[in-house]
Parts: sequence; structure tokens; C-alpha cells
Amino acid sequence: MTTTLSTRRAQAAPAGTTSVRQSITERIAPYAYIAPFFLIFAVFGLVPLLFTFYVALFDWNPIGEHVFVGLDNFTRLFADTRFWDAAWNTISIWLLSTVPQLLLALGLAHLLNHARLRMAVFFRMSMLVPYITSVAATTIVFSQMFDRDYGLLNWLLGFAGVEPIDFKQSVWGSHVLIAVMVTWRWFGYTTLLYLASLQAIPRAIYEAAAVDGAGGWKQFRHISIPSLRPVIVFTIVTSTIGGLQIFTEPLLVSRLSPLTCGPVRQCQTLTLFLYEQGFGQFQFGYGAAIGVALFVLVVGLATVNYVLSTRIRPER
Amino acid sequence: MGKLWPTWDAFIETGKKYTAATKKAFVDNAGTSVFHQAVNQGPQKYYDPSGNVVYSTSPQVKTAFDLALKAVQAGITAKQSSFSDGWSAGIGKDQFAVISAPSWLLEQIRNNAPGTKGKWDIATIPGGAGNWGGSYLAIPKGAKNPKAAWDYISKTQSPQGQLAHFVVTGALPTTPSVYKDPKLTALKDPFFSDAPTGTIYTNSLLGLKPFYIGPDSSAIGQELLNAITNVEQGKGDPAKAWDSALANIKTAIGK
Repeated sequence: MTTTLSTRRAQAAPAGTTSVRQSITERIAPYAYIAPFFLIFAVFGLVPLLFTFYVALFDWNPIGEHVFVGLDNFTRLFADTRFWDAAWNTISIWLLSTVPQLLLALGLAHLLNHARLRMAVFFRMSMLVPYITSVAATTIVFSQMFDRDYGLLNWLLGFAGVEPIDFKQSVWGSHVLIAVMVTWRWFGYTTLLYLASLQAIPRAIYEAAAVDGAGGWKQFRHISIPSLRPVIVFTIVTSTIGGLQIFTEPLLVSRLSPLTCGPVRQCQTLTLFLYEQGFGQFQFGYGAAIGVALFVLVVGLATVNYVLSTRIRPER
Repeated sequence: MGKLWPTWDAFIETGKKYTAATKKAFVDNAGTSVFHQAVNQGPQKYYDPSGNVVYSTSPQVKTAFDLALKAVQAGITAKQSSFSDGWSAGIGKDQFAVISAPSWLLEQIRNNAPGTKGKWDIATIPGGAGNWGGSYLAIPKGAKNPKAAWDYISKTQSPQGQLAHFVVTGALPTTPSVYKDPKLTALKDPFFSDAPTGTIYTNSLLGLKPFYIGPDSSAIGQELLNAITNVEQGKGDPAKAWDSALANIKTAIGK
């Protein structure tokens, strides 16, 4: 690359103006290449984001008046128990889905990376099946499996003499149900990310460790995990951002009161609360205020997780 | 069948007998099949005729709410929320004997449980006819061709248009002029033991008194329904259900 450039520059040198123009073009070119993304991001990402901040300051009726109310929406929001319930539900579901998912993925990636694994490609590829399945289909199937009277799970538990559990009605039950769906959908994707990183670790290191007498667990703990550090940070940050915005699963769990995920809002997440207020009650201003609060929460928790997870360091 | 339950109290009593004899639930749920029906039978619901919010003092609302709680405590409900997966499955598996069914719901029963053909019949509802609600058609201000939209609506919603629709899908006509039309009066449904689907719904409608529906009617109804479902399926305390429903409505609509 360098050689090509310098040759071309050398050839162009005699004609003074052309060289200047060319070097300007060369300097601008990379920005032009990445411009489409930033333009589209500006139109569909940045502008709506800023506009949300603006709408949050109004009592905004979608087909009527827009009245400026300053920070009233936020004052109301912080006094609204439904908001705090939704925030707690969101964090609870996020923890229940993310922590087991990342641990499971780590373990599975380690197994799939095993040198003596047969049909490795088949097992590795099948990890992605849940990920490519439509989230609505997954939710409907899981929702039926966990049904109180006709669910597969309660049918099986019945053989063990366990009374039917009503997952959807209780707070913990509904959180676990949604966490299982989220874990099911994402664990394969995370596993493959970890696996790709594991495969980049030279076998020689493991062989050397084995010669030094390190067993499987010690190799995993002292070679695999430290080498995976960048990708672990990446998955923790992305799953924080995604996990705090869970929407489809809680929306489809309760048919009679879908926007609240059940009669007592037992699994209503912040995005669902936003949707209920904005598009169910048509209070755009209030919905926008929820959006801003969610934005702050996501940025805050993602930062905390980034800082914490970058502390994973090889032990000396 | 309707003679067994002229009133909701008689309905609950019949339910107790049925449940005692069969060990099965009588009605699918208390929220939709009892509360939501009873609250819609009368001249005033959540708003008074001049548009003031009166849900907390309207006797009709409290009566319907207490009736639903009574049905829950009588142990005659299957605790299946309408339209849920378990509810759809329950229809086909004889989990419960009774569903409150407006005429458009018959189609769902037919589709959900084709195997139950001939096992159902249609009876009049306790307490007299009510209005579950309906849909609205609107032409947006920015419509490119409002005239054509209006012509389309006028044609499909004309008495004859609604009648044709009813015969095929079961959407009840809002035009009493066709209630005597032989196409309607002759309508019977073999799936529901040849019940006179044409006349049973329309006859009950002729004396119906309309009530005022306000902008927050749906939010108010949803919170009341949630409170009942929470007692029925969750851990809600029946003694506190009414107060917590009122508190939730206040949070939701601010009045």
C-alpha cells in the first residue's frame, strides 16, 4: 500500500497543482467512503434522538396541540410508581438473562473449541438456529410451553407431583420466563463470538501449559479467559444495551393486557412502558421523557460495565 | 338456557351447581365474561352524559366489579384470560362451559375449537343486552381522496352492506332497519346447535340504552379489569381490589 502511494506521488510530482489536488482528494476519500453510514445514522439515529429530547419538554398530542411544559414530564415521571416498577423489572430481567447467558456461552465455547470434538462444524452452526428464528415465534412457543394449564413444562412437572406453576402471573415467574427466552435467543451468538476468539489463541500455549501440569480448569481460567478479555467486554456492553431494551418478549406474553405485560405490570419493561404511554395512551411527551430516562440508564450501566469488565486482567 | 340465569346472581348460583356437580369450571374468567359484560348493561358507565368522569361513584361500575369478585370467590371461573393461549386451548378441551360471546366472537370459537361443533348453544346474557364496544372509521385530514373514502364507507356500512357482512363474518349490523330482513331472521348456526344467531342478538338490542364513552374509557376499563384479573389469577386481595383499581386509574389518567 505504502509503496504504491509513494510511487504515484513521485510520478505526479512534476505537475505541481495536480499533486496538491490529488493529495486533498486522497485525504478526503476515506471520509467519503464512510459518509453514507454517518449520513444515514444522522437521519435515522441522531435526529430522532435529539428530537426525543425536544418532545420530552412538551405535552405533545400526536394529532393536536403541542404545549411547552418544561420539565413537568420528568417531575411526573420520577413520582410515577409505574416508572420505578418498570425500571426494576427491566434491570431484573436483564440480570436474569445476561449473567447466565454469558456464563453459558463461555462454557459452550470452551467445549466447542475442544480439539477432539467430532462434527464440530455441525455443533457450531446449530448454535445459531435460535438466533435466526423470529423473536415473535420464539416468544409464542415459549409462552405456550410455560402455560399454566396446557403448558409442556407444567405437564412434565405434573409427573413429578408438582402443582402447576403460573409463571405469567407472578413477578419472578414472568421475569424468569422472559429471561429464558432472551437467553435462548442470544446464547448461540455470544458463544460463536467467544469461540472465534478462542480459536485465535495458539494451541502451543495450551500444550505448554499442559506440559507444565495445568489441568483443563486451570487452562480455562488462566489462558482462555484473559485472552477473551476484549470480546467479553464487547459482549457485556452490547448485552447491556440490548438487555435493557427488551420489548417483543414482554409484549407478547400477556394477551389480555399486552401493553402492561399482565394485570399488575409484573413484567412491563421500560421500553414497553414507553410504548404504552406513547402509542397506547398517545402521550408522546411523556413517552419521550421515558425514552430519555431509558437512554440515561443504558449509557450509565453500559459505562459501569465497561469500566468493571476492563479490569479482567491476566493474573501474574 | 337463558331461563337459568335472568340475573347475574342467578348466573353465579347456576355456576356453583355446575361446578359442584362436574368438578369443572363454569365460566372462562370473571374479568371479561362477568365484569366487562355487567358494566356495559345500563345507561351510564365511566362518564356521565355531559362528559364528566364518574367511574368512582357510578353504581353500575361498582355493582359489576363486586359481581366479578363474587364469581371469583365462588370458585366457578377457569382463570383463563380471554384470547390467551390457555383460553384458546381451554375452549377445545371443555375446560369451561360458558363464555360471554358477542356475535363476532362466535367465529373465534369456531376457529379455535373445530372439534366442538354441535356442543355449544347460544343463550341470552344475564342482566340484559349490553354494549361491549365497537370500532370507529375515520378519514384523516390529510387523506388524498376523502370523497372516495366516504363513498366506500357509505357503501360498506349501508344497512344492506352491514347485513351482507353479518351473514359472512358475524359482525352485528348497527342498523335496526335490517333486523326484520329474512336473510337475518332466518340465520341459524349449525356449529352452535342451530341457535338462531340472526335474531338472538338483534332482539336483545332493540331496547338498549346508549351510554357516553369518553376519551379515557378504555384506560379506566383496563385498570378495573386488571384489578379483577389480579384477584382471580394473582395474589390480589379482594378487599383492596376496588381501592387499588381507583388509585391506578388516577395514576393513569390523572383524574
